[in-house]
Amino acid sequence: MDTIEIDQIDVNDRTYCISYPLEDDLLASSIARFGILVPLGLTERKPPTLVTGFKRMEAARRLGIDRVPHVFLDLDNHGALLASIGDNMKRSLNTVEKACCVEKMNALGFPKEDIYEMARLLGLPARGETLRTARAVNSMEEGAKALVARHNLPLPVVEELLWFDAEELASIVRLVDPLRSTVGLFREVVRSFALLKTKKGRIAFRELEKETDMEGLRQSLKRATHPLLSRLEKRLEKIRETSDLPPHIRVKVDPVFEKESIDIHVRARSQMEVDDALERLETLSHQGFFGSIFELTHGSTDRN
Amino acid sequence: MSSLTVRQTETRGSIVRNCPGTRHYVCCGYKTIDLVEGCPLDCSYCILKGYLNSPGISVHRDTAGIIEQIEGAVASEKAHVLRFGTGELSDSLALDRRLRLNQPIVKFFGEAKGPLLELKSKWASIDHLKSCLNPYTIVSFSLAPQAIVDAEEKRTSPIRKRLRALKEAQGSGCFVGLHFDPIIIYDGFEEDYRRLIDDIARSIDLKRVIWVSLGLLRFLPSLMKVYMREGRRNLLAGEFIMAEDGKYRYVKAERIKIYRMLYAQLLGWEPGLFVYLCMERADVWEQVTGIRQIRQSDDLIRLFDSRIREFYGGSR
Repeated sequence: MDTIEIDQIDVNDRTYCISYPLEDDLLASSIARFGILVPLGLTERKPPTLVTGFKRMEAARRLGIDRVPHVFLDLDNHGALLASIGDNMKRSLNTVEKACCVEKMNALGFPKEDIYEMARLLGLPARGETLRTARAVNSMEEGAKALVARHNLPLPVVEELLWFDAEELASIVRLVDPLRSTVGLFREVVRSFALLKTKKGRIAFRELEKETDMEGLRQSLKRATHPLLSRLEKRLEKIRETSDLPPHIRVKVDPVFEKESIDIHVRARSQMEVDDALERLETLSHQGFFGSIFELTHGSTDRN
Repeated sequence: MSSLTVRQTETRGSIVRNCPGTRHYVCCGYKTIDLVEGCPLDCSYCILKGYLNSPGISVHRDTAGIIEQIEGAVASEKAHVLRFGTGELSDSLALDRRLRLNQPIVKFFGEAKGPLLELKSKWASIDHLKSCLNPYTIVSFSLAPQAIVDAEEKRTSPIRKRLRALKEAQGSGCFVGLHFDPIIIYDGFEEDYRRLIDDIARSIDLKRVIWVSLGLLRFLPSLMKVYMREGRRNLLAGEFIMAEDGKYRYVKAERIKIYRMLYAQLLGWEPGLFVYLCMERADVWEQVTGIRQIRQSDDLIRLFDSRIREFYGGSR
């Protein structure tokens, strides 16, 4: 393989770079052990610039490698960007990278149909809004971009993050980035932030800082956006606590208190267990356990 | 509204349909005549934004065919008085001065002297219809506090004009309907609704109001994003849950509280008013009105039949 000194390459030219983030510890440790196995693609300009291999280049620099294997690619601007995208599509791209592909194609003047075709290949909706979102994602602050990449957030969630101004977004990033979360929970939390902003006009971030996990944050936001529902939940919890329901009897209540009916589930392995369960249910009924629950499911209580 | 694109559509299939009720929520058995699809009034909360997937407005002009469909529906229903409305997929009156779609339908109902036609609107323009209005046409207006009209129904007629139009309709021999739908929870809504009901009671003859509907704001999930993106603070001030019909609705306990308040205020002015809940659960009906027997659509339709008998006589 031909090699070239890194100093001879214009490594600051990122025209064709769609990788984010460039730092990749796994790749760096592989290169440290085996070296760069796939040559970097370079333009034939003087000095040459990178077309493919931005992550490899970053790893090489971090490892203090001064020569890298390369091939020169005889490509125009469009061809070079497509080569870069094609090279990266061998792995799964995060939303920042997908947005970057779309935005760079747009910036380099690709026809709309070609951009939409690429969007489809990347699993993004082929519509004008995607172009606007891609531009906005590219303009995001570094912290927000890192959040999107680190948590592997899909485009719909990223679109919702874009509803916030830069200051709000920075606060959200600061709150949620350290917390472990599923994408679904993340989305619910972002939605709650947006709802809170719409309802109150502002978000009191300081009051949320005490939360140390995503579920706690979700609950805090819910108390702010849905105080009545949260109170109903709390009362149901209290009713359950005082009933001392045995584990083989479960009473399922609609979590949003819309359905008037409740489901009672009994697990029994013998006639005796059935009799025990029925006796327990009868006692609970006489104690007003079910009546209290029906007050909640019928919305009939005056103590809301 | 003159800059709007209104296109004529060939009438294929039925445009006289059953109101799309949903399970678990009691439907009133209304029939819709979709003369126009799409609405120029563009209210911020409009559920049509979630239902109609083509921009612009389509109109059906095949009057003879439409009347034939209405006759077919009437002929197939022996047990109840059918109520039809043209305000489901559009506003009944917003474009009518220009398009003159309602006139032949209004005349048809006047001659049929059985089923009822309801013109449901937020656009106070009935002059062009006055010559053909008849007791079998119900002129109805959706009503909301002026604060909501100003913020969320910007292209509609102000409330004072709607009330004046209702009074004129009563003067022309029509019964009228009032629709508090959507009722929106926002800061100070209780006082605004109290004043609105007072204004209505002072403006029109409540004894000649055939029905009043109450319906709290509910909407498709896709509209939640729209409301948030547009910063619709009024619309999202209350607490919404995802209900069994896949729509966002206010928490049930809150709905009951508000319905009770409005129900009491309305009956306080006229105890004989017929107030119904639009698409609500049986237990909400019971909590609000004390009526236990509204479990399904047929039960509510029977209530309507009896109300119609009060106004028109007859045996059905």
